[in-house]
Amino acid sequence: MIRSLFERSVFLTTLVGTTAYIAASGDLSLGLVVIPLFILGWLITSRTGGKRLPRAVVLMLTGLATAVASLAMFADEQFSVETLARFVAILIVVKSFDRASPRDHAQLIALALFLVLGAMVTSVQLIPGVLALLFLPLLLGSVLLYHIDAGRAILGDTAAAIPPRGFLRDLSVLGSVTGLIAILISAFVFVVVPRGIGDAIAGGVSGPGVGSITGFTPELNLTAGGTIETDPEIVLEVQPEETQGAINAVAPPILYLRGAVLDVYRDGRWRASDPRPGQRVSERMVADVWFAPRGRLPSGTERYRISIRNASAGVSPLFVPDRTIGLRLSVQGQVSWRRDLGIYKRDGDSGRLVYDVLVAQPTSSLALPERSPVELFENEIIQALAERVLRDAGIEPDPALRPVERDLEAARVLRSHLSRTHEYSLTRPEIPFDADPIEYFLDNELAGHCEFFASSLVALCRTVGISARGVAGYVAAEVNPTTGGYVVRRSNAHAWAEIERSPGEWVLLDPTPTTDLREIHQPETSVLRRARQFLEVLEQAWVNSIVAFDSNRRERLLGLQQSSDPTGLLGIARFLEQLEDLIEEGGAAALGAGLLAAGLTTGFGFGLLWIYTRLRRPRAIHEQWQRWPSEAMRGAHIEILSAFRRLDDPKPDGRSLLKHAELVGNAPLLHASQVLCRHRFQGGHPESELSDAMQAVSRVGRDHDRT
Amino acid sequence: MTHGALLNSASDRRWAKPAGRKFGLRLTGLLYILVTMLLVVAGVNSQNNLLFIAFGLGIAGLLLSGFISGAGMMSLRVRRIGCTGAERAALVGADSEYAYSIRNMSRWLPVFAVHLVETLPEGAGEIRAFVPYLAAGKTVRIGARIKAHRRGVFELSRIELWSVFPLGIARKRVWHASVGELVVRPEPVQIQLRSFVRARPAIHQAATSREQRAHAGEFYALRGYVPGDPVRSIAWKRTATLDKPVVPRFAGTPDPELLIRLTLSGRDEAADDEAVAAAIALIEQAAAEQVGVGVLAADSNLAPGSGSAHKRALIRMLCRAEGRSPSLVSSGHRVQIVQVVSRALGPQVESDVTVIRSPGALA
Repeated sequence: MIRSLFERSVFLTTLVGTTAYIAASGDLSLGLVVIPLFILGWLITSRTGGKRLPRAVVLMLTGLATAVASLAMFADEQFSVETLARFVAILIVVKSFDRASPRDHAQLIALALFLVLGAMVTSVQLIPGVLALLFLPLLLGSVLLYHIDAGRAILGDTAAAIPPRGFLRDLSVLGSVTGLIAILISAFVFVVVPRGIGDAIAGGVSGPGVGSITGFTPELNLTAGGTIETDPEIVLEVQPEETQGAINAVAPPILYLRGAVLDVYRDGRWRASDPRPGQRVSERMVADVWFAPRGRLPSGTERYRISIRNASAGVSPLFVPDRTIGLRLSVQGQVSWRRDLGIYKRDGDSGRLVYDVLVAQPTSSLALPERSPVELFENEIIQALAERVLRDAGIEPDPALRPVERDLEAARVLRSHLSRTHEYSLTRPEIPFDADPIEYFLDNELAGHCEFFASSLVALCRTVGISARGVAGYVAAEVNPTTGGYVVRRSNAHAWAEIERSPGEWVLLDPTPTTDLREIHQPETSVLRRARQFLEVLEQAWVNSIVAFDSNRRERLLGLQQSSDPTGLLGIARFLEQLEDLIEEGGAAALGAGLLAAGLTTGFGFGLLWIYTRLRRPRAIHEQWQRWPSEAMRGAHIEILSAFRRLDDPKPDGRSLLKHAELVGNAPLLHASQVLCRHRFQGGHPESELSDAMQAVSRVGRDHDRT
Repeated sequence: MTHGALLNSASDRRWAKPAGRKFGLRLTGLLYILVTMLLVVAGVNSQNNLLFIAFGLGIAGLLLSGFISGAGMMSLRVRRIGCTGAERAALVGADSEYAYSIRNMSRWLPVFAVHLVETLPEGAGEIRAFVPYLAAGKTVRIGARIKAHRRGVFELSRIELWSVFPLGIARKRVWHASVGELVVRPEPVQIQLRSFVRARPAIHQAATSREQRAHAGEFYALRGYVPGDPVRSIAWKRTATLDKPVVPRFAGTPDPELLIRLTLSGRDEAADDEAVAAAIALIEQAAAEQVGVGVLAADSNLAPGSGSAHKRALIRMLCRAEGRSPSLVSSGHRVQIVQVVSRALGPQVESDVTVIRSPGALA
């Protein structure tokens, strides 16, 4: 029983560990090779009763895998987690064909553990994380069973060492309690270990996914790049304040999040202009204090909480909606602001970044009768196109003759023309080497993605004297109904244009066809989508609580922010005080929920293991005794037991019938017990044999009573 | 080899506490610590919180590994029951069993994966057992496996229990002081062949002639016929009833007796063991044929007798026999003497003595 349970536990442990790494790396080809081969090897060795591959073959395969891994690392000229994990996965496959002793199974457990560690290094996403959590109780169960199975294997006897009932119950209780205590200790260590010290001290061994905002680029290069980003990985979440009311989850309004303003164009590239003196403001912001760059916080504003999941270390953009007039960081940090562009950047550690923004309501103020100096876009073809479109619409293309009030109208006409005549496509046009990408898009290709639309509108506007600039960032168009907030993915990276209606007042104008924009960024609701959104809520909780735990949150939790407590001991004391306050203030429910969640996670794994073993385990002997194939056997069993009682030697619980009969030493009873066991477990014996034996048992009882 | 049969926990005798304990780190423990340290380095380097969690779990494993089975080991009590082999003796080179009783004194903490080890003096072998599980407050009787490399009577003084449960990081050892003894027999040999056949007529002739001479006393039992018994002595009616030849025995007449004189070389251990094995085989054969048997060895001797206790005493004496030729003592009555001589010695034939020179006589 122990061996069987141990082997199943090792199988599950290895399978979950391997799957965790494959989920983390996204290496589907590795999964398609390793997992079926592992299962095949396991089945073959199970069916052949532990017959393993010849030693020479195992050594040859192991040597081959080592050589391939070494060559791969040599070619990469660096240590690579991916190469090492592939090597370990191949070893798991080889070992599955070469398993017989508990030691072999222990090696499989160790290899699976290394794969899980590889998964942790490779990815911080929810699925690998959950698999790693599921791996924990399986690992614990396997290790516990290993020591029991290995001890029995040393003595070479397997039949006699079946422990009595209660073994599985006690082992499960011990494993659960151990796992729970381990989680609590781990949580304590997790909080206490300082963050931000020694970052990248040993180089970039860790994999991707830590400290990078993906999908967005602060510059646009229209001549490079292929298909634009389609990865659905969540980059940030935007949660509106509760008082603003719920957003319509079916057709939410599109929220544009500005990340970079691109006002300089050269050779197919857009970039931000260099700041002039006084245009950049850099300020050390105190946590939870509003920063109002324009010096006023008017009423009638909207408030959003924005969480960037994985901001990179150093300077990284703070994505803010259009018309943002106030900013508040959840932790203190250095923020710089471009007055002319309305762009915010933060300088700090990598990890999760949370901030609040205040957004002014859209105004319908009249444009002032003046125009800022416009940087002209010199391209005759584009200029001719813009002039033709405006003339067709009855608007004077010459800025000297056109009233300032009609600039915005002119820009809208140009946008309508673009949307009408050009097709949206996610594929980059094949642009000739010597051609200008915007001109080629407008005059030849007539199809492209958002960057081409935005660039073209800016170019068209500038050629007719309208002040315009491009903006890169994200569009928030998808609402998770569970959280009620916007979810922004890598694939929501977008570019649009802004038109200067009056000096310093810019109006957003998106030339990308609205239908296409919604189709790309606002997918239809379906059952699968809802399931995915539910998973994303879990992932959000995972990221917020585990992945994004940084030095600021640690200091806040331990109360270290306003102290100079290098050892952290005072902080621990404050933490305990805060914990006490939390409980007193009614936070006990939250604390209990946390503990419950930890317990449930551990219990879930053990529960799965228990259900699996319960379903798959062959019936224990004592259970088989409860099921009698015939009344005669059941009666014989009762009669034998009563004969033992009459001899003043009743059979105790936990001792087998045969064993007890041997110990008592009464020949007829021993014979009857042997016959009964043969009939019960082997079958095919004549009924008369049992009845003869039972007659002898009856005589024993009678003789004893007579005596 | 564990029986798994729970004994009654009630006992008059008090269970002795462990005499000592020692906890030590294993190689796997060092590797574990190394991996844990690597985890924290990787976590610091990458600021990956999952690695910090893994590091925390590593620390938790280290702490729990020391506590869990450490406390359980201190609550274990062990008692020696004895060798359960034939004649309560173990065999050289073969698996034998030594029984122990182990009790878990803890009220709520079960113990798992406990090894029991006793080492025989002078590297003569060891006794090992494994207890996969012992519930709180329960007692279990286990059969330990004896691996003995040579013959002898060994004193046992220390029972060691150890465990690496739950994670294999540290080995927790406790030991109990307990005095005992283990008799190790040489490998058995088959001797009911020519050797005993050669000696058998003389033994029974001596006894039968005395019976016939005396022929006084009451009939009190039947015994099986053995070659050498006069055919006239066979009780034919009972033979027909029992379907095997039997002869009557009379009160007042002595049983047939055999004295084994063992001569060992003291130089060649293997040859001496063979001689001892031959002598033991003779004892067993004689006992099976209801012949009283005694041993004359170098440093001790035992007069002929019968019964299982006498037999065990003879075997114990033979197992501890050393070299040197024994001196022949005169017996009060006529006893057949069989001399068993180690093949490492030269010819030592005395008159009126059947000589078995191992192993030639055993072929």
